[in-house]
Amino acid sequence: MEELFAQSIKDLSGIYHFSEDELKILEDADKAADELSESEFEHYIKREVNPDHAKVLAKYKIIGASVDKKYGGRGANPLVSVLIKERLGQLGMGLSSFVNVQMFLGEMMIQRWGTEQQKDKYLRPAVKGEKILAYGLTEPEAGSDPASMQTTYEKKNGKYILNGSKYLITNGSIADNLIIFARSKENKDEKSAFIVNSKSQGFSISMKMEEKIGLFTSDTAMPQLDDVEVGEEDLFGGIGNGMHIAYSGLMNGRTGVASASIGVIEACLNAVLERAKERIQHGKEIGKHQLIQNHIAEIRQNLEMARWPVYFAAIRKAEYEKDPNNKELISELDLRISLAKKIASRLAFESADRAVQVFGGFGYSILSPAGRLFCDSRVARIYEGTDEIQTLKIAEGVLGKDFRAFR
Amino acid sequence: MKINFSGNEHISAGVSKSERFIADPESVSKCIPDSKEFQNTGEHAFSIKVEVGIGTLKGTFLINGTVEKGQDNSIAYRLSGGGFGNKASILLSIKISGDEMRTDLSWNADFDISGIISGLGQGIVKKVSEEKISEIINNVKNVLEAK
Repeated sequence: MEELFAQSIKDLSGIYHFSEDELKILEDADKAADELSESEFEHYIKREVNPDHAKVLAKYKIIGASVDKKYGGRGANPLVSVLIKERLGQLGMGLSSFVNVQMFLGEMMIQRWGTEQQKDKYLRPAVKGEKILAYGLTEPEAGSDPASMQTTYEKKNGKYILNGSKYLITNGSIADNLIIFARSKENKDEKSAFIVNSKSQGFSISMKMEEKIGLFTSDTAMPQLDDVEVGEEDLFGGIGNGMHIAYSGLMNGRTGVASASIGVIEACLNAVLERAKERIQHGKEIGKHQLIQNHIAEIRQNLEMARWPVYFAAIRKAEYEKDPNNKELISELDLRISLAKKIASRLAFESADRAVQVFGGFGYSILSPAGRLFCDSRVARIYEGTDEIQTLKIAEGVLGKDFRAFR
Repeated sequence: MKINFSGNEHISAGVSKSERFIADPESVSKCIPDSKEFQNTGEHAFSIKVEVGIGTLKGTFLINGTVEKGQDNSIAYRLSGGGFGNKASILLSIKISGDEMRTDLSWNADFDISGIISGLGQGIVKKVSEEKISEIINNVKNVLEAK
């Protein structure tokens, strides 16, 4: 097992008892990451989506690990799910983005909000890697303020008709099904969600975002909906529940980004340790130069500072999942997740920046692990809620809801 | 970057035939994918060019090598060379045992690589190298078992 990942499990064993099943899930996550490492590298430097993600994650039964056993998953609780994402995050944010959307925003949302019919139709195949899922919330004009979405739905002849554009959607052009959020054409305050089949008439991809500065192995696209028909059976979570569903998804997504950020810091640490022991300059290994030691010590420190807020948020999330209507717990969890996401993502980017510095000129290339982690980790401070949104949520968490800045 | 590889292989061919083949660098060179311009440069010395590629990082390594037969049915290849900003030295030790019908190989390889490739990270370099070594061993096995 990868050493830093094994150390995380060992450290957590002091406060949490992992069952044999959970340890097996983590072992499988480690194997999946190991098997994907080469193809992830190859596709990254060619700046192309890695088509092996679903296949390998399904092979090791990781693609639906967090889903309940009764739907074909392995019932991994939030702490085990965080550790899975931590290990996969060591390969960069591309793989992590795929998993975040497939499992945390797709499968887990269908499990929470879907009808039994939707679970049979979408969740069970997704857990086997047979259906790829996407989460269509963001729009060109609605990023940090998703409630201002412009995509509309209206009911005609027993069907919902969707029109609009979704933007920067992970898995957008490879998904079989997308959870699409839209507002009522008659009442802009009424937001609802729908499960849309990407083969539907009127569904198209108007742009594949291939000019990103990182995340090359992950698909990012702009789906277009022109009079896309959705049957009543694919209304998701009931009429008017759109924003409630969206925000509950974001809590999952943010936890996922925070977890992957721990993996990024671990990968930075592994890379600089190797480099510092091998690279000779001025007659000695660069790791013997004190200013390089400073970078290494800071990255190790970042790892320690990043992981515990994420683990604590996961522990609270496990409590919340048992008692999802406990408002006090929801508020505390919201704060914990924002803290975890902001702290871990910022420290991941800072660690990657330091890793580039340790690698020197070669670090400025995506051939180096430092270069890839640097390009990838920047997005962690943006997607699933920017640093600024997390800051406002943290302030609200300590000041109280009366002080909410964004209304 | 120092990487160690080791492994075992069973070949359905007599041990004498296998030993002769493995001790002959020219024969072995034909089992190395993307190798070219093999030259004997001395009684136990040779040079060879090998195309090396990891991802988009591709180029030619010029490698000089020697082969030595040990007293305990072992064969050692010492290789050194480099190309496109990289240097490598490799010590490959192979122990051969078996009988007239079968050969058992046990091998150990110590790689020492410096330069651009070493910056890719040990995980990637090791995985790619393992695949390449496995391919070479399979080729050797196929040739010996076909003869």
